[in-house]
Amino acid sequence: MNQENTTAWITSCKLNESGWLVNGTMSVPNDPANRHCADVLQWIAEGNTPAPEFTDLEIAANAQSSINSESLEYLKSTDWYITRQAESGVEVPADVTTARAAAREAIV
Amino acid sequence: MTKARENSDYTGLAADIVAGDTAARAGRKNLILNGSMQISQRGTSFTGMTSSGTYGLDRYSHSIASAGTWSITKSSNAPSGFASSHRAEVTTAGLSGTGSYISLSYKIEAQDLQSLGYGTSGAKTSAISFWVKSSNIGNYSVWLYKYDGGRTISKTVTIDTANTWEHKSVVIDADTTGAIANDNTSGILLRLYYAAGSDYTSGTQQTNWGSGGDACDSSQVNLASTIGNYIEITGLQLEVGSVATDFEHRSYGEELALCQRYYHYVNQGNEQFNHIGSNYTTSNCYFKVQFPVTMRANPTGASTATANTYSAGSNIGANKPVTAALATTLSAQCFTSSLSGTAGYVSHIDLASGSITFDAEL
Repeated sequence: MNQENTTAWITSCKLNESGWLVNGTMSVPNDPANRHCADVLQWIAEGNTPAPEFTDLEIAANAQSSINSESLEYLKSTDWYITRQAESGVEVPADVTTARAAAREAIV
Repeated sequence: MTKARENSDYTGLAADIVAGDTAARAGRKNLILNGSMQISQRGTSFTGMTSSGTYGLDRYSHSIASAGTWSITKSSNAPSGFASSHRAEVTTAGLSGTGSYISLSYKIEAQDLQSLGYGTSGAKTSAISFWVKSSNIGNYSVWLYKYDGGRTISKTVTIDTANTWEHKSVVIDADTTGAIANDNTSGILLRLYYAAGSDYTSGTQQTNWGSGGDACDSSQVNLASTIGNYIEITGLQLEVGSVATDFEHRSYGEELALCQRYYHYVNQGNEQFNHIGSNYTTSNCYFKVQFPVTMRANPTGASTATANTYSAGSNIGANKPVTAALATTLSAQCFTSSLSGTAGYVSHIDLASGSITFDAEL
């Protein structure tokens, strides 16, 4: 007798922080009392395997995004050296100049 | 007459009330939520229904297999004393195969059923009642499934006149076998069959608590036979006692809160300006959605929403996507992405379009 829990509605499933991301939009918690969780567990029992949370491309993109964020933050935090040099002629320390150049190059 | 009976809204003969009934009639007697079909957070019209598990009006779904296509609406057509009803209508006819069926389905949380005393010598008789109107006269089956132990019982109601509101009731025997666990999982599944294939009608109907018998009467109506066939239901009530009494009306706000234990809907209309978050990175801002009531279980979060995110006086992301990430029974963590902000800053998130939903239905 059908009690409603089925797996036919699951078209994609990958791991996420709380359980699974199903069909691209549903964040299903790993809570057995959740009806969707019960379906996902059944779907796994039927021999299916959830995809990893991130693909290799996404991992690379996330890493680059972090590098971009950190580099932008560093440039913002040292912009005052440039302003000071323009307004008063005080030289930018060499290590800062080098680090700023590296930060600019790191941003993609 | 006892005080309990004085407080009762029962209007029939007092002699019909047997010992043990009075406590249930003194208030808070209806074990069904949204029995008056007033609450519909998901919308008021649902089309193209061909499979099980999709909810329409709050707390109600359908069980369906190879039974055509149906539309569900919250209808303003209702008997006196009610403002709305649940309408199901055939849009593509067909009941194909012996295992086909369609029914209205309602699941009751186990810990709300403890007053039935099932599995003990003090188990209670109960009564199910509702108003119904249909294009098709004949016998319809009311079926209950008890998740703990897998026992079932089926009763028949007869619609006598087409296109006319009728009040129906059935009495459900006490079940001294098999207790219902006192927890937050499914306790009983209640179905009202609109149609069923021979797998559910050709044998002996399970008219007493047990297992193995058919879910439906052998003369079960086939409502799925013709486009335009419909059935409207409201005033659904399950109460302890051997007599069905008048429907227990609850206030709209109270009923909504009861339903929000199972489903919570957030959109621009009801929570546009209520979210404060913090920028986890330059591109992501996390914020909290507080649920109005404790949900039954950790809910499934889903979002079609976009938001405007304001930080330090600037809109750092116009109409950017919102993701529902983590949720417990009390609140959820969501985030907006593709922003151009500053990590660590506080942001104010205004929903711009779409919705975020949290589903802890049984």
